[in-house]
Amino acid sequence: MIQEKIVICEDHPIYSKGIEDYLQDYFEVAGNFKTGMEAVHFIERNKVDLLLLDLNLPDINGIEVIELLQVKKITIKIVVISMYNDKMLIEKCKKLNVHAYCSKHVTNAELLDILKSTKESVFLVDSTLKGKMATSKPPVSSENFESKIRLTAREAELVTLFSKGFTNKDIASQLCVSIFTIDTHKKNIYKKLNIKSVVELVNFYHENF
Amino acid sequence: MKISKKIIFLLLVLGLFQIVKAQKKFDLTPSFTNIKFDDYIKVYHTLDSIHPNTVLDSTIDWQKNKVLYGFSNEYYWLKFSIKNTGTVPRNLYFEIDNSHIRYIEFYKLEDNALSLKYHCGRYLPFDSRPVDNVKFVFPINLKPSDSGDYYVKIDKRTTSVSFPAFLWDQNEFNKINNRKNLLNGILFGGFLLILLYSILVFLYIKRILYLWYGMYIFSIGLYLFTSIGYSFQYINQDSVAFNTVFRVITLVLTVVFHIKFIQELMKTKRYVKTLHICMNVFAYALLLIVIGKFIFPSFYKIHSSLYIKSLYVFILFSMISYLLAAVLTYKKQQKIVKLYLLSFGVLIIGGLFLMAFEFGWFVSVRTTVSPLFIGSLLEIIILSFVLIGEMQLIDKEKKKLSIKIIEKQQEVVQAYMDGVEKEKLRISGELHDNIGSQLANLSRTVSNENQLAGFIHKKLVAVIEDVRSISHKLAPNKGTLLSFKEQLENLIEETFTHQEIACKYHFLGEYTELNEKQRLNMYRILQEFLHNIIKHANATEVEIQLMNLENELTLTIEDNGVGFNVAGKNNGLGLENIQRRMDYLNGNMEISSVVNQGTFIVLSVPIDEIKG
Repeated sequence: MIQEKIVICEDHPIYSKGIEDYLQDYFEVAGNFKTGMEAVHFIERNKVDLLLLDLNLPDINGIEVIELLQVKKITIKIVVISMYNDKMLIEKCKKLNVHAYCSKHVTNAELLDILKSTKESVFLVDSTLKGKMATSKPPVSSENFESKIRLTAREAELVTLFSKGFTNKDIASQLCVSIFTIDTHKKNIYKKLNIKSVVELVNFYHENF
Repeated sequence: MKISKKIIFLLLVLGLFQIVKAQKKFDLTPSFTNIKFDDYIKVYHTLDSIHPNTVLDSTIDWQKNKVLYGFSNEYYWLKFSIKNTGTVPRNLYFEIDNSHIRYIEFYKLEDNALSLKYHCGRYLPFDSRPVDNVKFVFPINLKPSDSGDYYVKIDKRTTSVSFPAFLWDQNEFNKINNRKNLLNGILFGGFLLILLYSILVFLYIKRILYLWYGMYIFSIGLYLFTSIGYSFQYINQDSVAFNTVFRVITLVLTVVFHIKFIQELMKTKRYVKTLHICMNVFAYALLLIVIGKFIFPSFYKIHSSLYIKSLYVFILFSMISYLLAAVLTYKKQQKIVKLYLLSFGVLIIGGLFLMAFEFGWFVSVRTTVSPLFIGSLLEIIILSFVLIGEMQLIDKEKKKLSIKIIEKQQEVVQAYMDGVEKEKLRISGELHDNIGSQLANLSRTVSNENQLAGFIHKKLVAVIEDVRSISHKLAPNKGTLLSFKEQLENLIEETFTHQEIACKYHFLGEYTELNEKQRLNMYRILQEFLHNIIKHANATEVEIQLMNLENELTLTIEDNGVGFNVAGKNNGLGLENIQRRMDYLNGNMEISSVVNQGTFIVLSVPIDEIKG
């Protein structure tokens, strides 16, 4: 059977040597590069099936390698292997259509499984990261929260109170906060809505509430 | 007024002369109020202390009055006659305008013999004077058509003598005298105010210049007080010796303090070292001469004229040194020197006017206040303006210095923070790239072997996770792997994922123009606040908002937790570090917290001001 060609891009010599030794039995290791640019150059000129990519590289970083390959319209199955386990970073890779994301302390067997199963078009993470990706109660970002008028709940409440003619002092005592807090909220609301006066605020209130 | 007298001597040497009008008997008309009386006086001077009646002898050579006679060892006899041509009795005063005559005897010719009416003088107790006044004033009463011949003996030997004379109607004299006292009082009040001011300034900015200035004002004030004659009237009336030496002491102190003042003002020590030393010599010489008078009184009595002359010589030297200091340092400090010369000029003009009065050049002018007094007050006012200018300069320098200190402090903080971040980055890199990678390799290779290897692998994974986590906390920024916004989102998501806290966050605007320092510090600040909320706030809701609008990055963090005392001193290092980071970013932090209601934090950082 013809072995799939794999390129390793990893700047740490011991780690890359270790992984190359292990993968030699299952793949044809076409190249082992320490920098992102070297890897991109090689992949451009040679037919390669797989790229095992570290994110932390001395010249351009792994994300940039992925983006560069996409710009050059080179289709290659990419498996990221990184010390980082930040959720945002993993999701970013997912968005870039990376096939899998592994932490560096993945076991040999699991890494091999992931590399072999890259034909499936499902984003994979290794077992150490699975728990992280499936969070029960994620914080709510602004994208799905009153994004239309870009106001926080407290700010929306204040817009209502301002529009009804309450003074800063009234509102402060009603909400048990200092006048300063109300002033700051008001300043932020004005900034966000790009308005300068209470009249504009009242207009905004009647148009949107 | 010895300063002016010295100038007078110089002018006499130059051959100045004065015009004297013919003398005659003074006819007192009903409309008379006052007159400068010198022209009606005849003078006879002699070395002998003759019997009063001797001056009635027809062989006596009476001369025209000169007012000023300079240094003299003689007795002076004055003679004048007054006739009341009116129809009512008149009460007059005869005034000698000199406060420093030692002995003065006032006689009236009665039955062809001189009858002593009054005997007073500087060396006699004050209450021997017929009229309570700083000058020597003698009452003369004339019935209608009455006339009187009066003789005055003046003893002011071994010093300079002058006796400008005035004749007054008593009512007019009292009126003018009251006005004079009031004006002098106001002027002395002015002196005191400036004295107080300069002493306060000295206490405030601790520059010796202002102390010397204050002492100068104090001594010139005392000198004028004595010179006008008030010290006889108001200070220690009965002590003759005190009043005798007081004027010399105050004059010498005035000159000495003026020297010290000029040295400081003109910075002679820096600019004209030789002159500075000369000035010191003059000052010490003057002080020694005066002190010597108390240690060797008998020697000074014998050589009194040498004593007076040496004093004058050193005073003259000192005055020349003031002017020299001004001229020699003119290029270095034009404004100060100009103003000083102006002030000194005013004083000199005052002295010249006084001299002119004593010579009788302004016969009809009768000033209520000594021109020297006005001159010195003006001098002091101008000098005060000089000093105000100096003070403003010092104030400016002080402000500049404090700004520099703040800048320096900020630099130190910046260098410290940069250093700390660099070190963190280095350690993080070391952990991540080196130790982490080696451990990861080890864990991967042992994973497939036996049970023991499985155990080792588990342990290694735990160690690697620790290393990764430490590395992550040390350096959150993974180059360009994550954008600033993504980094913050990551931080928030990871912080609240396993917490029972509902967190909402909003990001508005772009963050591309933020530099590395701003990104890193804002990240750290948010990290610290989130840490505090998790650890202390006991909140159930948190709302985070980051806006970059109108060149201002605003981060607000609101929670519904237990709150804390913002002004409290035990808020720990965390808040202190945040404040330091905000200072570093030129930012502004405001925290309002209500116990059991929650905390609202606003951080704003100007985005234009810091260049990356």
